Amino acid sequence: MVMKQDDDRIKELYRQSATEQPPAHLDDAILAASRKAVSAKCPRALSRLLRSLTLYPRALSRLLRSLTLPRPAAPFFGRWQLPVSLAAVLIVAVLLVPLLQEEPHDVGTPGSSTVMPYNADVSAPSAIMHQEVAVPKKYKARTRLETQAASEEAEQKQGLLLKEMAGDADVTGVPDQWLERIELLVDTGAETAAFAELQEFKRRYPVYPLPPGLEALWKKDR
Amino acid sequence: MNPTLQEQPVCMQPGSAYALPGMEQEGDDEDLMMRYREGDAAAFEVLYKRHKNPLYRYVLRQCGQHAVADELFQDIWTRVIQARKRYQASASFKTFLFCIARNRLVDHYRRQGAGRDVFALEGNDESAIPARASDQPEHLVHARQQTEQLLALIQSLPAEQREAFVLHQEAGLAVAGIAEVTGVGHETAKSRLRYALKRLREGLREWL
Repeated sequence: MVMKQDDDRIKELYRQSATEQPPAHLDDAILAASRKAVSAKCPRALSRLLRSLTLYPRALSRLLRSLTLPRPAAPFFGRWQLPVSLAAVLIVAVLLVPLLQEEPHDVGTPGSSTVMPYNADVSAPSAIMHQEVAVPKKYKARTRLETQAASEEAEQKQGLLLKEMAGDADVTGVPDQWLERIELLVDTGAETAAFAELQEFKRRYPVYPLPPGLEALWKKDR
Repeated sequence: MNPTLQEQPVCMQPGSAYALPGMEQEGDDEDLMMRYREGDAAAFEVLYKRHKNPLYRYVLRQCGQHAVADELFQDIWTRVIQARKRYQASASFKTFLFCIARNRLVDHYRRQGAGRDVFALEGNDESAIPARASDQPEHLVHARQQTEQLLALIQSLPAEQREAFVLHQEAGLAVAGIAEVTGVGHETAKSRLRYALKRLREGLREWL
Protein backbone atom coordinates (compact mmCIF):
# COMPACT_ATOMS: atom_id res chain seq x y z
CA MET A 1 0.00 0.00 0.00
CA VAL A 2 2.79 2.36 1.01
CA MET A 3 4.74 1.25 -2.04
CA LYS A 4 1.80 2.08 -4.29
CA GLN A 5 1.53 5.52 -2.73
CA ASP A 6 5.24 6.07 -3.25
CA ASP A 7 4.96 5.03 -6.87
CA ASP A 8 2.07 7.40 -7.38
CA ARG A 9 4.11 10.14 -5.77
CA ILE A 10 7.03 9.42 -8.07
CA LYS A 11 4.78 9.50 -11.12
CA GLU A 12 3.24 12.74 -9.97
CA LEU A 13 6.66 14.21 -9.36
CA TYR A 14 7.75 13.13 -12.80
CA ARG A 15 4.73 14.76 -14.40
CA GLN A 16 5.66 18.00 -12.66
CA SER A 17 9.29 17.66 -13.67
CA ALA A 18 8.86 16.71 -17.29
CA THR A 19 8.20 19.99 -18.99
CA GLU A 20 10.55 19.92 -21.95
CA GLN A 21 9.02 20.74 -25.29
CA PRO A 22 10.34 20.74 -28.82
CA PRO A 23 11.45 24.17 -30.04
CA ALA A 24 8.93 26.19 -31.99
CA HIS A 25 10.95 26.16 -35.18
CA LEU A 26 10.68 22.38 -35.25
CA ASP A 27 6.91 22.62 -34.87
CA ASP A 28 6.79 24.94 -37.84
CA ALA A 29 9.10 22.82 -39.96
CA ILE A 30 7.26 19.57 -39.25
CA LEU A 31 3.81 21.01 -39.82
CA ALA A 32 4.97 22.65 -43.02
CA ALA A 33 6.36 19.33 -44.21
CA SER A 34 3.11 17.59 -43.35
CA ARG A 35 1.11 20.09 -45.37
CA LYS A 36 3.50 19.95 -48.28
CA ALA A 37 3.35 16.16 -48.38
CA VAL A 38 -0.40 16.05 -48.87
CA SER A 39 -0.71 19.07 -51.09
CA ALA A 40 1.92 17.80 -53.52
CA LYS A 41 -0.14 14.84 -54.59
CA CYS A 42 -3.38 14.59 -56.45
CA PRO A 43 -5.97 14.42 -53.67
CA ARG A 44 -7.49 11.03 -53.32
CA ALA A 45 -11.03 12.33 -53.56
CA LEU A 46 -10.20 13.89 -56.91
CA SER A 47 -8.60 10.67 -57.97
CA ARG A 48 -11.79 8.81 -57.12
CA LEU A 49 -13.86 11.30 -59.05
CA LEU A 50 -11.66 10.90 -62.08
CA ARG A 51 -11.85 7.15 -61.85
CA SER A 52 -15.62 7.19 -61.63
CA LEU A 53 -15.77 9.49 -64.61
CA THR A 54 -13.68 7.13 -66.67
CA LEU A 55 -16.02 4.33 -65.70
CA TYR A 56 -18.97 6.35 -66.90
CA PRO A 57 -17.91 7.90 -70.19
CA ARG A 58 -21.33 9.35 -70.86
CA ALA A 59 -21.21 11.34 -67.66
CA LEU A 60 -17.71 12.44 -68.50
CA SER A 61 -18.83 13.42 -71.95
CA ARG A 62 -21.63 15.53 -70.50
CA LEU A 63 -19.27 17.09 -68.02
CA LEU A 64 -16.73 17.93 -70.68
CA ARG A 65 -19.40 19.27 -72.95
CA SER A 66 -20.64 21.54 -70.23
CA LEU A 67 -17.11 22.66 -69.45
CA THR A 68 -15.68 23.02 -72.89
CA LEU A 69 -18.73 24.06 -74.89
CA PRO A 70 -21.05 25.77 -72.51
CA ARG A 71 -22.97 27.69 -75.11
CA PRO A 72 -23.00 26.15 -78.55
CA ALA A 73 -24.68 29.14 -80.04
CA ALA A 74 -23.07 29.17 -83.42
CA PRO A 75 -23.99 26.50 -85.98
CA PHE A 76 -20.32 25.66 -86.37
CA PHE A 77 -20.10 24.52 -82.75
CA GLY A 78 -23.34 22.71 -83.07
CA ARG A 79 -21.98 20.61 -85.91
CA TRP A 80 -18.70 19.83 -84.18
CA GLN A 81 -20.05 19.41 -80.69
CA LEU A 82 -20.29 15.61 -80.71
CA PRO A 83 -16.97 14.78 -82.40
CA VAL A 84 -15.11 17.30 -80.24
CA SER A 85 -16.67 15.86 -77.12
CA LEU A 86 -15.76 12.34 -78.10
CA ALA A 87 -12.21 13.34 -78.92
CA ALA A 88 -11.96 15.14 -75.60
CA VAL A 89 -13.22 12.06 -73.81
CA LEU A 90 -10.56 9.96 -75.49
CA ILE A 91 -7.77 12.41 -74.75
CA VAL A 92 -8.78 12.85 -71.13
CA ALA A 93 -9.13 9.11 -70.66
CA VAL A 94 -5.64 8.55 -72.06
CA LEU A 95 -4.25 11.25 -69.83
CA LEU A 96 -6.01 9.89 -66.78
CA VAL A 97 -4.61 6.39 -67.01
CA PRO A 98 -1.16 7.29 -65.66
CA LEU A 99 -2.74 9.46 -62.98
CA LEU A 100 -4.85 6.61 -61.73
CA GLN A 101 -1.94 4.25 -61.87
CA GLU A 102 0.04 6.65 -59.72
CA GLU A 103 -2.56 6.64 -57.02
CA PRO A 104 -0.83 5.25 -53.95
CA HIS A 105 -1.68 1.67 -53.23
CA ASP A 106 -1.92 1.30 -49.53
CA VAL A 107 -1.34 -2.33 -49.06
CA GLY A 108 0.52 -5.12 -50.66
CA THR A 109 -1.15 -6.25 -53.81
CA PRO A 110 -0.66 -9.93 -54.21
CA GLY A 111 -1.99 -9.98 -57.71
CA SER A 112 0.30 -7.32 -59.00
CA SER A 113 3.51 -8.65 -57.64
CA THR A 114 3.33 -12.37 -57.75
CA VAL A 115 5.21 -12.59 -61.00
CA MET A 116 8.70 -13.75 -60.31
CA PRO A 117 10.92 -12.65 -63.14
CA TYR A 118 14.09 -13.95 -61.58
CA ASN A 119 15.08 -17.25 -60.13
CA ALA A 120 14.42 -16.58 -56.53
CA ASP A 121 15.64 -18.79 -53.79
CA VAL A 122 12.33 -19.12 -52.02
CA SER A 123 13.70 -21.37 -49.38
CA ALA A 124 16.32 -18.86 -48.30
CA PRO A 125 16.45 -18.14 -44.59
CA SER A 126 14.16 -15.39 -43.49
CA ALA A 127 15.72 -14.91 -40.09
CA ILE A 128 16.70 -11.40 -40.97
CA MET A 129 13.07 -10.64 -41.70
CA HIS A 130 11.91 -11.91 -38.39
CA GLN A 131 14.53 -9.97 -36.51
CA GLU A 132 14.31 -6.66 -38.21
CA VAL A 133 10.67 -5.93 -38.69
CA ALA A 134 9.93 -2.51 -37.37
CA VAL A 135 6.22 -2.32 -37.61
CA PRO A 136 3.15 -3.71 -35.96
CA LYS A 137 2.90 -7.45 -35.67
CA LYS A 138 -0.69 -8.00 -34.72
CA TYR A 139 -3.66 -5.92 -35.61
CA LYS A 140 -7.13 -5.81 -34.28
CA ALA A 141 -10.15 -4.35 -36.04
CA ARG A 142 -10.98 -1.44 -33.85
CA THR A 143 -11.94 1.72 -35.63
CA ARG A 144 -15.10 2.89 -37.28
CA LEU A 145 -13.19 3.63 -40.42
CA GLU A 146 -11.95 0.11 -40.66
CA THR A 147 -15.34 -1.35 -39.96
CA GLN A 148 -16.91 0.75 -42.68
CA ALA A 149 -14.22 0.10 -45.18
CA ALA A 150 -13.89 -3.60 -44.64
CA SER A 151 -14.42 -5.60 -47.73
CA GLU A 152 -13.20 -9.00 -48.65
CA GLU A 153 -10.64 -7.68 -51.08
CA ALA A 154 -9.35 -5.10 -48.66
CA GLU A 155 -9.02 -7.68 -45.95
CA GLN A 156 -7.07 -9.94 -48.24
CA LYS A 157 -4.75 -7.15 -49.17
CA GLN A 158 -4.37 -6.03 -45.62
CA GLY A 159 -3.74 -9.54 -44.46
CA LEU A 160 -0.87 -9.91 -46.84
CA LEU A 161 0.63 -6.60 -45.88
CA LEU A 162 0.38 -7.34 -42.21
CA LYS A 163 1.99 -10.67 -42.74
CA GLU A 164 4.76 -8.93 -44.55
CA MET A 165 5.02 -6.33 -41.83
CA ALA A 166 5.20 -8.95 -39.17
CA GLY A 167 7.76 -10.95 -41.03
CA ASP A 168 5.42 -13.89 -41.08
CA ALA A 169 5.51 -14.00 -44.84
CA ASP A 170 8.71 -14.84 -46.61
CA VAL A 171 8.69 -12.23 -49.32
CA THR A 172 12.27 -12.78 -50.36
CA GLY A 173 11.11 -14.80 -53.33
CA VAL A 174 9.06 -11.92 -54.71
CA PRO A 175 11.31 -8.97 -55.50
CA ASP A 176 8.57 -6.33 -55.61
CA GLN A 177 7.17 -7.37 -52.27
CA TRP A 178 10.60 -7.58 -50.79
CA LEU A 179 11.41 -4.07 -52.00
CA GLU A 180 8.15 -2.81 -50.59
CA ARG A 181 9.08 -4.33 -47.29
CA ILE A 182 12.48 -2.68 -47.34
CA GLU A 183 10.84 0.65 -48.09
CA LEU A 184 8.62 0.10 -45.09
CA LEU A 185 11.67 -0.39 -42.90
CA VAL A 186 13.12 2.85 -44.22
CA ASP A 187 9.85 4.65 -43.62
CA THR A 188 9.71 3.50 -40.04
CA GLY A 189 13.21 4.58 -39.18
CA ALA A 190 15.04 1.28 -39.35
CA GLU A 191 17.52 2.33 -41.98
CA THR A 192 20.32 0.09 -40.87
CA ALA A 193 18.04 -2.91 -40.97
CA ALA A 194 16.72 -1.76 -44.34
CA PHE A 195 20.22 -1.52 -45.71
CA ALA A 196 21.06 -5.00 -44.46
CA GLU A 197 18.06 -6.35 -46.30
CA LEU A 198 18.90 -4.30 -49.33
CA GLN A 199 22.35 -5.82 -49.42
CA GLU A 200 20.81 -9.26 -49.30
CA PHE A 201 18.36 -8.25 -52.00
CA LYS A 202 21.13 -7.00 -54.26
CA ARG A 203 23.07 -10.17 -53.67
CA ARG A 204 20.16 -12.23 -54.87
CA TYR A 205 18.79 -9.91 -57.51
CA PRO A 206 21.83 -7.92 -58.68
CA VAL A 207 20.20 -6.39 -61.73
CA TYR A 208 16.68 -5.91 -60.46
CA PRO A 209 15.79 -2.20 -60.66
CA LEU A 210 15.38 -0.42 -57.34
CA PRO A 211 12.81 2.26 -56.64
CA PRO A 212 14.38 5.75 -56.48
CA GLY A 213 14.36 5.95 -52.68
CA LEU A 214 16.13 2.65 -52.25
CA GLU A 215 18.49 3.40 -55.10
CA ALA A 216 19.55 6.52 -53.24
CA LEU A 217 20.00 4.56 -50.00
CA TRP A 218 22.04 1.95 -51.82
CA LYS A 219 24.33 4.51 -53.40
CA LYS A 220 24.61 6.56 -50.23
CA ASP A 221 25.55 3.70 -47.96
CA ARG A 222 27.94 2.16 -50.43
CA MET B 1 26.88 -1.43 -25.07
CA ASN B 2 24.42 -2.94 -22.74
CA PRO B 3 24.08 -6.54 -23.87
CA THR B 4 20.54 -6.83 -22.65
CA LEU B 5 19.25 -3.97 -24.68
CA GLN B 6 17.31 -4.73 -27.81
CA GLU B 7 19.55 -3.62 -30.60
CA GLN B 8 17.31 -4.63 -33.42
CA PRO B 9 14.40 -2.60 -34.56
CA VAL B 10 11.50 -4.18 -32.86
CA CYS B 11 8.01 -5.24 -33.66
CA MET B 12 5.02 -4.12 -31.79
CA GLN B 13 1.58 -5.33 -31.21
CA PRO B 14 -0.79 -2.43 -31.32
CA GLY B 15 -4.08 -2.45 -29.61
CA SER B 16 -2.79 -2.75 -26.11
CA ALA B 17 -4.33 -0.82 -23.30
CA TYR B 18 -3.09 2.67 -22.73
CA ALA B 19 -3.97 3.12 -19.20
CA LEU B 20 -3.21 6.60 -18.02
CA PRO B 21 -6.22 8.71 -17.18
CA GLY B 22 -6.79 11.75 -19.30
CA MET B 23 -5.56 10.18 -22.48
CA GLU B 24 -7.63 10.69 -25.57
CA GLN B 25 -10.15 8.05 -26.51
CA GLU B 26 -8.82 5.14 -28.45
CA GLY B 27 -9.51 5.37 -32.10
CA ASP B 28 -9.22 9.11 -32.36
CA ASP B 29 -5.57 9.02 -33.27
CA GLU B 30 -6.14 6.32 -35.82
CA ASP B 31 -9.00 8.22 -37.43
CA LEU B 32 -6.87 11.33 -37.58
CA MET B 33 -4.02 9.46 -39.18
CA MET B 34 -6.36 7.97 -41.74
CA ARG B 35 -7.74 11.42 -42.46
CA TYR B 36 -4.23 12.71 -42.92
CA ARG B 37 -3.51 9.83 -45.20
CA GLU B 38 -6.48 10.94 -47.26
CA GLY B 39 -5.01 14.41 -47.55
CA ASP B 40 -6.37 16.24 -44.51
CA ALA B 41 -3.41 18.27 -43.25
CA ALA B 42 -5.40 19.63 -40.32
CA ALA B 43 -5.77 16.12 -38.95
CA PHE B 44 -2.02 15.77 -38.79
CA GLU B 45 -1.76 19.02 -36.89
CA VAL B 46 -4.08 17.69 -34.20
CA LEU B 47 -2.08 14.48 -33.99
CA TYR B 48 1.16 16.35 -33.82
CA LYS B 49 0.03 18.67 -31.06
CA ARG B 50 -1.29 15.73 -29.10
CA HIS B 51 1.89 13.68 -29.20
CA LYS B 52 4.75 16.07 -29.74
CA ASN B 53 5.65 16.71 -26.11
CA PRO B 54 5.56 13.10 -24.87
CA LEU B 55 7.51 11.99 -27.92
CA TYR B 56 10.06 14.74 -27.53
CA ARG B 57 10.63 13.90 -23.89
CA TYR B 58 10.91 10.21 -24.67
CA VAL B 59 13.62 10.92 -27.21
CA LEU B 60 15.34 13.41 -24.93
CA ARG B 61 15.40 11.04 -21.97
CA GLN B 62 16.88 8.33 -24.11
CA CYS B 63 19.57 10.38 -25.84
CA GLY B 64 20.17 13.01 -23.16
CA GLN B 65 21.07 15.85 -25.50
CA HIS B 66 18.73 18.51 -26.78
CA ALA B 67 20.54 18.91 -30.09
CA VAL B 68 20.36 15.20 -30.85
CA ALA B 69 16.79 15.01 -29.60
CA ASP B 70 15.79 17.86 -31.91
CA GLU B 71 17.28 16.16 -34.91
CA LEU B 72 15.78 12.79 -34.14
CA PHE B 73 12.41 14.28 -33.26
CA GLN B 74 12.15 15.99 -36.62
CA ASP B 75 13.27 12.89 -38.41
CA ILE B 76 10.72 10.73 -36.61
CA TRP B 77 7.85 12.97 -37.67
CA THR B 78 9.19 13.12 -41.17
CA ARG B 79 9.04 9.35 -41.26
CA VAL B 80 5.51 9.38 -39.94
CA ILE B 81 4.62 11.66 -42.83
CA GLN B 82 6.40 9.43 -45.30
CA ALA B 83 4.86 6.28 -43.91
CA ARG B 84 1.30 7.58 -43.92
CA LYS B 85 0.33 5.63 -47.02
CA ARG B 86 1.35 2.41 -45.38
CA TYR B 87 -0.42 3.12 -42.14
CA GLN B 88 -3.40 0.88 -41.43
CA ALA B 89 -6.38 2.08 -39.44
CA SER B 90 -6.24 -0.98 -37.28
CA ALA B 91 -2.78 -0.17 -36.01
CA SER B 92 -2.48 1.92 -32.89
CA PHE B 93 -0.99 5.22 -33.92
CA LYS B 94 0.75 5.70 -30.62
CA THR B 95 2.51 2.36 -30.83
CA PHE B 96 3.35 3.09 -34.45
CA LEU B 97 4.83 6.45 -33.48
CA PHE B 98 6.90 5.23 -30.57
CA CYS B 99 8.12 2.24 -32.53
CA ILE B 100 9.45 4.59 -35.20
CA ALA B 101 11.02 6.69 -32.46
CA ARG B 102 12.72 3.71 -30.91
CA ASN B 103 13.93 2.47 -34.26
CA ARG B 104 15.42 5.85 -34.98
CA LEU B 105 17.18 5.94 -31.63
CA VAL B 106 18.62 2.49 -32.16
CA ASP B 107 19.63 3.38 -35.69
CA HIS B 108 21.18 6.64 -34.60
CA TYR B 109 23.41 5.01 -32.04
CA ARG B 110 24.31 2.20 -34.35
CA ARG B 111 25.61 4.74 -36.78
CA GLN B 112 27.53 6.40 -34.00
CA GLY B 113 29.37 3.15 -33.49
CA ALA B 114 29.10 0.04 -31.44
CA GLY B 115 30.48 -0.29 -27.96
CA ARG B 116 28.28 2.30 -26.39
CA ASP B 117 25.22 2.00 -24.32
CA VAL B 118 22.60 2.61 -26.96
CA PHE B 119 20.34 4.66 -24.79
CA ALA B 120 22.83 6.00 -22.32
CA LEU B 121 23.10 9.62 -21.39
CA GLU B 122 25.85 11.27 -23.32
CA GLY B 123 27.78 14.09 -21.72
CA ASN B 124 26.28 17.11 -20.13
CA ASP B 125 23.64 19.15 -21.75
CA GLU B 126 23.88 22.78 -20.78
CA SER B 127 20.25 23.43 -21.48
CA ALA B 128 19.36 20.77 -18.95
CA ILE B 129 21.34 22.42 -16.18
CA PRO B 130 18.89 23.89 -13.69
CA ALA B 131 18.96 27.39 -12.32
CA ARG B 132 20.96 28.00 -9.20
CA ALA B 133 19.02 27.09 -6.12
CA SER B 134 20.18 30.17 -4.24
CA ASP B 135 18.27 32.40 -6.65
CA GLN B 136 14.92 30.92 -5.73
CA PRO B 137 12.52 30.97 -2.77
CA GLU B 138 12.87 28.12 -0.31
CA HIS B 139 9.80 26.14 -1.29
CA LEU B 140 10.76 26.40 -4.92
CA VAL B 141 14.24 25.30 -4.09
CA HIS B 142 12.79 22.29 -2.34
CA ALA B 143 10.57 21.40 -5.29
CA ARG B 144 13.38 22.04 -7.68
CA GLN B 145 15.71 19.78 -5.79
CA GLN B 146 13.12 17.03 -5.85
CA THR B 147 12.61 17.26 -9.57
CA GLU B 148 16.32 17.53 -10.25
CA GLN B 149 16.97 14.48 -8.17
CA LEU B 150 14.22 12.56 -9.88
CA LEU B 151 15.46 13.43 -13.35
CA ALA B 152 19.01 12.56 -12.35
CA LEU B 153 17.82 9.24 -10.97
CA ILE B 154 15.93 8.51 -14.17
CA GLN B 155 19.03 9.19 -16.22
CA SER B 156 21.03 6.91 -13.98
CA LEU B 157 18.66 3.99 -14.47
CA PRO B 158 19.77 1.12 -16.70
CA ALA B 159 18.74 1.94 -20.24
CA GLU B 160 15.96 -0.58 -20.55
CA GLN B 161 14.48 0.32 -17.17
CA ARG B 162 14.59 3.99 -18.05
CA GLU B 163 12.93 3.26 -21.34
CA ALA B 164 10.16 1.29 -19.67
CA PHE B 165 9.54 4.04 -17.14
CA VAL B 166 9.52 6.84 -19.72
CA LEU B 167 7.26 4.93 -22.09
CA HIS B 168 4.91 4.36 -19.21
CA GLN B 169 4.94 7.98 -18.16
CA GLU B 170 5.18 9.80 -21.45
CA ALA B 171 3.39 7.55 -23.89
CA GLY B 172 0.95 6.33 -21.30
CA LEU B 173 1.76 2.77 -22.19
CA ALA B 174 0.77 -0.03 -19.88
CA VAL B 175 3.01 -3.06 -19.52
CA ALA B 176 1.62 -4.72 -22.63
CA GLY B 177 2.30 -1.61 -24.69
CA ILE B 178 5.83 -1.30 -23.36
CA ALA B 179 6.42 -4.92 -24.26
CA GLU B 180 5.21 -4.26 -27.80
CA VAL B 181 7.28 -1.19 -28.41
CA THR B 182 10.45 -2.64 -26.94
CA GLY B 183 9.99 -6.08 -28.42
CA VAL B 184 10.21 -8.03 -25.19
CA GLY B 185 7.86 -10.31 -23.34
CA HIS B 186 5.19 -9.11 -20.97
CA GLU B 187 6.99 -10.32 -17.88
CA THR B 188 10.25 -8.72 -18.93
CA ALA B 189 8.57 -5.39 -19.50
CA LYS B 190 6.77 -5.70 -16.22
CA SER B 191 9.93 -6.41 -14.26
CA ARG B 192 11.78 -3.56 -15.98
CA LEU B 193 9.10 -1.14 -14.95
CA ARG B 194 8.98 -2.57 -11.46
CA TYR B 195 12.75 -2.33 -10.99
CA ALA B 196 12.76 1.20 -12.35
CA LEU B 197 10.17 2.25 -9.81
CA LYS B 198 12.03 0.42 -7.07
CA ARG B 199 15.25 2.26 -7.82
CA LEU B 200 13.45 5.57 -7.98
CA ARG B 201 11.76 4.86 -4.66
CA GLU B 202 15.09 4.10 -3.06
CA GLY B 203 16.70 7.16 -4.55
CA LEU B 204 13.92 9.45 -3.46
CA ARG B 205 13.46 7.95 -0.03
CA GLU B 206 14.15 11.20 1.76
CA TRP B 207 11.42 12.99 -0.20
CA LEU B 208 8.70 10.37 -0.05
